[in-house]
Amino acid sequence: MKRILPTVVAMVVGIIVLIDFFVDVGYINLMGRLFVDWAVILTAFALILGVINLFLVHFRRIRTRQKGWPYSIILILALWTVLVLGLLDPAGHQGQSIRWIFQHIQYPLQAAFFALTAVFLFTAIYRAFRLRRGENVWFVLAGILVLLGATAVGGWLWDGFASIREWIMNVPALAGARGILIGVALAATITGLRLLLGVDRPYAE
Amino acid sequence: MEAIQSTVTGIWDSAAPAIMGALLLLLVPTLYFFTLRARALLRAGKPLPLRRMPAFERLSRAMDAAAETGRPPHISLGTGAVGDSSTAESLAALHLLAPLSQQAAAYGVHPVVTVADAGLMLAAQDRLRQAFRQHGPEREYRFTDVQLIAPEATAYAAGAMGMLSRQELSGNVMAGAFGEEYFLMAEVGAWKQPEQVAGAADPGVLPFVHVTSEAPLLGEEMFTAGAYLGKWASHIGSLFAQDWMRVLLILIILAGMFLASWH
Repeated sequence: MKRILPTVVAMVVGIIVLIDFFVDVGYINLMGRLFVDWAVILTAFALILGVINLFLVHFRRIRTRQKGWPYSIILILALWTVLVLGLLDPAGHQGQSIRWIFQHIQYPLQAAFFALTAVFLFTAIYRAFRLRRGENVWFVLAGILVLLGATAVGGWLWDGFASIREWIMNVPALAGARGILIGVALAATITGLRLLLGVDRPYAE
Repeated sequence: MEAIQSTVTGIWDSAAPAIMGALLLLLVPTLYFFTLRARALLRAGKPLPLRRMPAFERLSRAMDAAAETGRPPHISLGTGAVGDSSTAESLAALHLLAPLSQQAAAYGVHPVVTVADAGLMLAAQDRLRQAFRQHGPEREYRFTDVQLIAPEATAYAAGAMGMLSRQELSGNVMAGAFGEEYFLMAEVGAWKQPEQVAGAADPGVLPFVHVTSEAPLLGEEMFTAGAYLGKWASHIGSLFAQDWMRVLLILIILAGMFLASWH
């Protein structure tokens, strides 16, 4: 019963939501919308469990003095600060204090973090040269040609690089991406179907 | 020509749900048939007609290394969630986690599983608990082995990077839905960790997967963990069904090409 009930519930709910996508029948649409709303409420409860998990993991790290434990203190302090400010502010997460934290701490940190991508790209290019795989010759060659086609240096050397870049992006790269997308779409559809048929049960216990 | 194209587009727009429904209905018996076939092959002990995938061999090696060194492997299930457009990729990551958890439970190793979604965290905890119940002592299961780092992709990446650079791990496994943040995490993993296996389905992320992992799982390959590692009949049958559906789609594309050229 412990295994059958969740499977039956998941199958029935999944099939109703799927049918809602295909047909325009009043009560089916209503049920579909209702189940999606319930999912949103359940996700909110899951987030509470997630915050508890986060707190316990970092509390344990501090208690056992694991490597980097002072960062866990900062994390817990930040967590409680934002939570308390959000609860105290009548405007909630739209309040001025929360907005200030996001505008002056969160967003600048995010921007600085993504600026690392430029540095890491160079190490990745080095790695691409170092990896001894046959297809890497093509990988690196395509990368160099696209780079030459997109930069002023390439245009200064030979004006044909721009056309080569365009061809690479529009023909082999696009064809490859579409092939991958078709494969992924098929795999995703079958994954969903297995779930609907009750073959896969990620919710078994 | 334009009139034909607009007519075809109009027909497609109105018939798309019906075509998708028909495709789904066609997939059900196909999947069922090939699952039965895979089950028969497994029962007879015959070799499965699956091509070699170095990524899965490396995953097994990483788990063996974890048992030998006592260092846990890090398994990232991506920045996706359960319940949105990234659900399929997140489920694929869960299918990868299941056999790895079973191996870890059998070896008495506690993997460090990280997620960016609370719903995915609960599903991953469930997988890990089942693995310890079936393959190791259940009391060894710790729900904190699955960690929600942050529900936001950048914050998750920053947390995972810190973990990858500080903690001594036997390997780094990354599979699931990833965006640009993948590259930052994977670069640290590639420099700091002895073994890195990564998989993603987004074509925008795949070049980074290719250069940061010696054995990448590209696109649909990420969905094959259940067949290769778990040897589950339904997943092996899914691969056969996908191959047949792919042939059908190729024929439809060729027919479309022929019709477009002919007109």
